[in-house]
Amino acid sequence: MTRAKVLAAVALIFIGVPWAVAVPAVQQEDDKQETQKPEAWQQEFDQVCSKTTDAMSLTVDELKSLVQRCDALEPRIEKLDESRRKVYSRRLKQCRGLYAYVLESKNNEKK
Amino acid sequence: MHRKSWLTVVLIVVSCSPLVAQVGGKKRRPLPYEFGSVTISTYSQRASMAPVVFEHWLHRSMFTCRVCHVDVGFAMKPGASNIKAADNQKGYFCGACHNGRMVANGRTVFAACKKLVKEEDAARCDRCHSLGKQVPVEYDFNQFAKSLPKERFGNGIDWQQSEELGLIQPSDFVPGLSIKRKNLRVENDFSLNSKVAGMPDIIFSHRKHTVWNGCELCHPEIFVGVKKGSTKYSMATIFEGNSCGACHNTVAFPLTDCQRCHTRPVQP
Amino acid sequence: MAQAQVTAPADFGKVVLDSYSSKAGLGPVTFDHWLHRSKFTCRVCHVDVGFAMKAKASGIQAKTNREGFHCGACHDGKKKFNGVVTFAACSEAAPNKECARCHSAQKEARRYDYATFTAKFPRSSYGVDWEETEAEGLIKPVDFLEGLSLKKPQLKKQEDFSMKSKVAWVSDITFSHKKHTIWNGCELCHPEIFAATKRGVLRYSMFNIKAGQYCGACHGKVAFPVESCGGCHKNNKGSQQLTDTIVLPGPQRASGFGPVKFMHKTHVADREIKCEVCHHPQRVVLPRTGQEQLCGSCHTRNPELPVKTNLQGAYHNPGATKGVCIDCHKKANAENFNNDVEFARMLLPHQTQTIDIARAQLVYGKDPEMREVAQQLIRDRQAEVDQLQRWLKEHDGDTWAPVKCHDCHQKPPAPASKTQ
Repeated sequence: MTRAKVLAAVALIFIGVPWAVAVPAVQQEDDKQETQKPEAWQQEFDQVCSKTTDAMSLTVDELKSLVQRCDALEPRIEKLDESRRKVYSRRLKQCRGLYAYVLESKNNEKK
Repeated sequence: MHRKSWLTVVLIVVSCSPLVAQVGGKKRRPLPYEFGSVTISTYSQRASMAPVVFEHWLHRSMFTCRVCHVDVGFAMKPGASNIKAADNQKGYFCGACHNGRMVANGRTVFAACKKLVKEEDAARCDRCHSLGKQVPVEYDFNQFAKSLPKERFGNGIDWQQSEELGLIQPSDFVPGLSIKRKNLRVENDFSLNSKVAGMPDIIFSHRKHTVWNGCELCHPEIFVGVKKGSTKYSMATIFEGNSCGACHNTVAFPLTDCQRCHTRPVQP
Repeated sequence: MAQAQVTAPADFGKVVLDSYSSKAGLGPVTFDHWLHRSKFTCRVCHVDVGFAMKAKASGIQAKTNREGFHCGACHDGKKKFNGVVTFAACSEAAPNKECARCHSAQKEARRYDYATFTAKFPRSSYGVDWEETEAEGLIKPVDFLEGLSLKKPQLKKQEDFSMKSKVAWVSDITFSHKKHTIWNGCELCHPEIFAATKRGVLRYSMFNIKAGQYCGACHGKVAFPVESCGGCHKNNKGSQQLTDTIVLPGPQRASGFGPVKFMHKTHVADREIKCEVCHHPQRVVLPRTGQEQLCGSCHTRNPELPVKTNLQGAYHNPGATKGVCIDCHKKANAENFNNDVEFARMLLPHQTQTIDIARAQLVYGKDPEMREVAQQLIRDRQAEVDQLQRWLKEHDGDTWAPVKCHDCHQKPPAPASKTQ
């Protein structure tokens, strides 16, 4: 009987330890997945603000639409938690600001 | 009569007072390794920690200005970003890179404001929260600056030349934060006329600036006008920290180095 | 305003630095400008090396010196100037006596003696005329330090220009950029000391300058001081036109002496006395006794050279043959002069002083003969004092304000302060 108990204990350990190790690994994986799977607003932000380097070669209509998309993003960002709100509202401001700036300069050129 | 003489006395005292001596005198010039240091103490003291001292020279040799001030989202003045330990822990601001995982210069970057604080962690806190403390430095400025082209004032380093010659290769992309973008099409250089007779005109180089800054850093926050000549500013406003003075006096080469901008001979 | 001290030429430009020295158990550092400025331009230290322009503002530490900043930029034990290797500043390896070369607290004799060193240099009213010395080639200040200075394209030499003086009694100033840029380059003054890029934008006055701002950043403690008016306000022809008469009220006792008429024209135009002799007196001519030199500094009882006036007794010397009080005081008022009253009033304080001296002798004196003299004095003088007081009372002497010693006897100059 003692031997059986010992065997059972060893078996438990054998099964238990990997789990104990695996759980945090799984958790990590979950975290990774979370960072890998951007939220909808984040995808939109990346799309909109990736064109800043191109700003000077965009058309007036394209710029107008980008500015509008930025404006639409703003309330969504305002609802985020404090850290993300601080960072992304500033980044959005800079990004929108640049498009508006370039738009204005193009309109001036037309005149 | 009595009132008039009293007023005169007050005026005399005020004009001689040290408060007025803020102008018309020469200030202390920061030593080369001190130039570009920023002290941030929004919440540190409330948390019983020393204020943070951030030295620009080390970071600017590894990253462009744009990466921190646009992608990561730091403001251009100390205290304006409103950084908290919680933000760092969640991977924003300093924590965007100082997360214990990122590798730079062949070393893993230490995690900022890590939650579990043990005895040995205290030394790590001091690496940033160092005002007034004698913290051993990890990177020696003199060693770093030895092989770089020299300039007057500021850090004593010609950062622009260093980058052009490839002696430093500042990265323009932080994974997880920076958005993949196309390469920037560089705007043209243009000249600005100087208003003082005898001072050479200025050739403003967009190229030299966009290498470090991209577009959004300056436009529209620092330079609002879309048309050249629409914004009127003068050396007086620049000295106060507006337009060019936002960078040039605190981190980029200081305004005492007139000939860095006033390079073109005055047209007859 | 407090009486400013006149600095001896050898001490002019001395800076005492004690941010950390005393705390480290060392004497404060005394830095003499004259030696360094004869060898280097101002620009080299204050622009290339980066020293501030006020004592203790640079934040110099032994640590920074050893790292090759501030003093250590030249004083590193390796650099050679004129064939002499500089001693290393704050070196941990050097013998302790090297510390005293700077941390001397004025106790140790310096290696270079001011008088010998500057013997052949042309002089100005305040000491060495550095501008002339440099112009004559007696000194050749170095403007470039290997390994520290960087060659830069020259900015165009700026023009000289004139600034209007705000008062009638000094001339306009001709500011010479050329003379300043020899020593300073551009960056020393611009933009920190003079921030405006347009003339006329910066408003400052002599008060600001005296407080150490603008021109006063240098022309206060190191370059020729502000007191030497003629250094900037050249060609004071305007002062020749000083025709004002200043009426100085008579003394409080109003014994019949009227006010004194002081005429600028006599002194400035006719006698060609420089403004700073009376208003900010030079050490060379006379020892300084006050903010404005009192009449008695020149119109003394026994004039000594270089004082040239024979008008003695403007200082109340009745024995003088010329320029006695009446010459200055209005004649009309002098008709009210009552010699008897004056005799009694003037004699009284002198008699009472004699009694006081005798009384002191009785307290401290030991010799019986002298004690006897004192006793006699007290008896005789007291009788006279009683008589004079009685007479004055009978002759309305009470209406006159009492005579005070310092009405006639000038206060001695304050002794030179020993502390910095």
